[in-house]
Amino acid sequence: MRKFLLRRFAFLIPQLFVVSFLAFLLIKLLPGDPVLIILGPLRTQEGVIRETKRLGLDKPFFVQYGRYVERTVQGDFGNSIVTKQPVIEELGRRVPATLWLITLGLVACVVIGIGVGYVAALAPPTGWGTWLNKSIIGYGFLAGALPDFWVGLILVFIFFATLGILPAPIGQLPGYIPSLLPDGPTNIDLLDTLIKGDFGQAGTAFRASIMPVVTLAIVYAPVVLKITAVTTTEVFNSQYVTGARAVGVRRRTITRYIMRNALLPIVTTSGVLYAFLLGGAVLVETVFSWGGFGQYTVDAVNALDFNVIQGMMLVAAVFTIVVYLLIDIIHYFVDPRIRVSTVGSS
Amino acid sequence: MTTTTWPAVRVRVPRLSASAIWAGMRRQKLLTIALGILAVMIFLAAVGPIIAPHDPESVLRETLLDEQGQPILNSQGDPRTQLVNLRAPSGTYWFGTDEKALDVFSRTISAPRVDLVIAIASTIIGLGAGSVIGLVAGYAAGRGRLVGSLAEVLTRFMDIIQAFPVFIVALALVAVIGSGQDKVIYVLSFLFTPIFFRYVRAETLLVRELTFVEAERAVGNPTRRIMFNHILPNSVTTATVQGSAVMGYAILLTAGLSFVGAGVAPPTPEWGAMIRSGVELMQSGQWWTSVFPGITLGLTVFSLAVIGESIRVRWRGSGLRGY
Amino acid sequence: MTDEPLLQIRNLTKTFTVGKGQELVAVSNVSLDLREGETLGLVGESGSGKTTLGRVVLRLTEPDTGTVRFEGIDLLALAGEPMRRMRSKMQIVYQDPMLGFNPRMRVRDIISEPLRLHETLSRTELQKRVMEVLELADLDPRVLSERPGAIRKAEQQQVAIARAIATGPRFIVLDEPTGLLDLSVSIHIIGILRRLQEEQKIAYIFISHDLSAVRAISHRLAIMYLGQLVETGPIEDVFARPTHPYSEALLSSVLLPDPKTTRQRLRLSGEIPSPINLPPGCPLAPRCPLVEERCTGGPPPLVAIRGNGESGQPSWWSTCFPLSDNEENLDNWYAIMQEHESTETEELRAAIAAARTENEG
Repeated sequence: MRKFLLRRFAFLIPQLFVVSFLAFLLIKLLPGDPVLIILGPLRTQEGVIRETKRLGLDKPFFVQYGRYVERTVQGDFGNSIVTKQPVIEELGRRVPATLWLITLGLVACVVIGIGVGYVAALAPPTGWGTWLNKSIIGYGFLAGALPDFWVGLILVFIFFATLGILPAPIGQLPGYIPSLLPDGPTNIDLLDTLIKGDFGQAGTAFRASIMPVVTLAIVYAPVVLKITAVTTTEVFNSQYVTGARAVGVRRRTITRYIMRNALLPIVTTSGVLYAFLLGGAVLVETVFSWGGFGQYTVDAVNALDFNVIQGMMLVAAVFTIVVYLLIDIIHYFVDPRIRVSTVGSS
Repeated sequence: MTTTTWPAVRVRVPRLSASAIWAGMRRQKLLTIALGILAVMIFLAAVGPIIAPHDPESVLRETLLDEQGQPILNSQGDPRTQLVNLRAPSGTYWFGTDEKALDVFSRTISAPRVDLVIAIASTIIGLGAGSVIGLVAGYAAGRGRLVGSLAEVLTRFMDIIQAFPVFIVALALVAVIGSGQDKVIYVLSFLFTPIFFRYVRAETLLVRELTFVEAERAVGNPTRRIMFNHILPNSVTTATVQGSAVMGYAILLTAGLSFVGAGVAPPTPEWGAMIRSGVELMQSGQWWTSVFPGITLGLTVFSLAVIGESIRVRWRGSGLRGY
Repeated sequence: MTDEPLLQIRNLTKTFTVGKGQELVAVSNVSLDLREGETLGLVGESGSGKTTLGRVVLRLTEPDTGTVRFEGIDLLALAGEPMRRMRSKMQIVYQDPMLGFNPRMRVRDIISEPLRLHETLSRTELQKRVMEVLELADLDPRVLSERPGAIRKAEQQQVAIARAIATGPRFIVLDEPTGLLDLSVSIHIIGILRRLQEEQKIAYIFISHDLSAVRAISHRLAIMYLGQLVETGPIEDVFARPTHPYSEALLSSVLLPDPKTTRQRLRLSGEIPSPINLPPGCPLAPRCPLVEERCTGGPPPLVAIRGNGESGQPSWWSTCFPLSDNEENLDNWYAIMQEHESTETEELRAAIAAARTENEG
């Protein structure tokens, strides 16, 4: 039993190795000399040489990579060229905001997806059941076809511009100048304001998070919904459930049977969705000026801020790898039949 | 692995008659609608910029008139003009005009040339590359120490590429190679390769064990012919079936990249770039600049998803696969 | 017939590794000759290694050790391209022809493919050759444009035969070609195969469960048990007076010209064991009524029943320890075997009686 977990953990090492190499390689491929970008137009010949030496860019490729791994392991991701701030600090401020957003989004997707999916699967194949199932199929196709950023904008138009009941899409805590934002322990404005006990601000922060979370829920809930409906239907029609119903097992017990057996695919799908949302949230963050990881990424790419790009690639990949690891571990504990299964590599 | 017979299914193609098509359309309303939308989009990709009522890339100006309806002249004696920006939809500008005084309708119907071409090209390139690499990796898996482990390394590499969130990699790659329609095609092709690779490799592992492959060797096919003429056509189907869905995904990614200013840049008409203007305008109530391109984009991706799903269902339902 | 046999198989062994350290010896130290225009019937139970032997001979699977010489050429030493070219002279026909066809090809492509691979022909020449092959295989030209799934099972097998003979091969491995066919159809196919052999002097290795089909087409018989060849000889001789206890058991189990006749049978105990990790010695030892201590010690000796044929192989031989003592006096050996035989009906009665006592007890 421990063998599986050990092997699964051992697989992390080559994974992280390759991921770090790819992140490094990508930046090596960037056009333009990073030294020139760092020093800007007002540079001297000596300055360029000195900076090249300081960054170790005169060394062979693999020596540079070795240094990169060494620095990264120590938590040194370099400085942003634009803000001159250490990338790791910047990431520390921004990643929590994004994690908070996509976690809320995922919870919304899972709640809606499982709830509606379960009802749809057990609905009668006539009358309102047919109608419900058809609507869900149509909704699934349609929601999957709409860009999340566009849905976000539509919500802004309806709830801010037209109805005026939700705050403007200008950050986690609209109405506050960024420099005056609460500097709390979590770097998540809603939680920080709550910790400070400022319920007025917390209310604003809460209202500001409604639209982005609903956006994610609208666009991505069908993913969970579909897998729930499919697996629940499968389990429901399986012989042991049919048998249990035939002998008159209580409905609640049957529900428990079904959920237990339909759980694994749903967990897997939700996990994959969670990893996907990190990339997907980039655009939703842009719409709502969320100030998270995604927006940071966009700014870095547009400014060719290579240290930041490298850092966020690494964070994104590590996040994905960790999520897949968690899925595998959950699989392992929920389903004892599993011995060798890796979501990331099967 | 399996030893089941390849089914002796004989696919009878019914004679197409008007009444048969009509009956089919009534049975499959959703699919019919989807095919209709896709046909319109392909048509627009071909002729959109030509039939557009206004030039999709040039600024609209109108002559200023005084109370008598006469043009107001400037000091040189020329008529004075002004930009036609942010007009709400009207009889002249069906979808309104945007903040740069470009006609939203003309741009919306010209965009398929950009978006659809990117989607089709990147899907085909990704499918081609993924199929060939997947075929080689699948065929080589477990054969000989060197070849087998190379295939294994390749497979792991493809897995790990997929550990990076797609959109973030796309952004980073665009940063590396630059933006523009051709660059977006390269980036998306690269990102789609592992997707198709997985399908083709998995199928190849199954197909290469089938008896007919041995029979083709016995007949005297060289290895390359066995791989490309005999295994590939039989292992590429699952991947191809995904093509339609991947095309939809390509459109979403293209729009996303352009939305953050990293894909196709204005004034080239592209749905995502058009929606971008709504980031500010939606807050002030000028909904048309991003609503129309968004709906058109959504319909296109929707039709691709429906078509993809129906191909998948039909293909699976027909039992053409022996395993 | 020439001195050198068309195909000379010597000490061929093929082992598969199944799971951890589990070895399955599919073909164990097999030596055989096949002459031009000759049919060798290869029989044995499922899992006896007959199909693997056929595949190894065609080099569709690489053996561990041993040699295969074809027209004097060491097949196993050939590199990729020379081996590929050699394939125009050796072919295979499968039990289920559909399994052997690329599901995307039409009959025309299937039959013309070997010609296109091995010869450079113009379009009209190719068409002409395909028609010739079609006629040889007794096929109607209308099948050409069909997919194999759309034609009858017998026609499918004829297509497979047509493909096999297209390039004029010297020998064909027929892997249970009639296994899935009805009796009448099976007779038709065997008729085609025999005619082709007479006209073109093709040699066959005819692998089958069906002993009457084997008898109808073969000149010689080879009997396999758990990867080893236990007896080989002229077909009628072996059928009439098998010398190996396994041959005796196998052949007597099927010949039923008249169902009413009670019949003497050599009874093997138990079922065919798993071929994985076999102990040394005669593979039949655990089941053989004539087993002796030495049978489990090492590989059984080769006993020449009749004369030394060409190229050092006796024309009829068998591998058995107890038999080797009676090499000079075969009648004595047949008598020994007969002592261990029992009549079917007697056995049946005994079995019924045993079942009764069990029920009562």
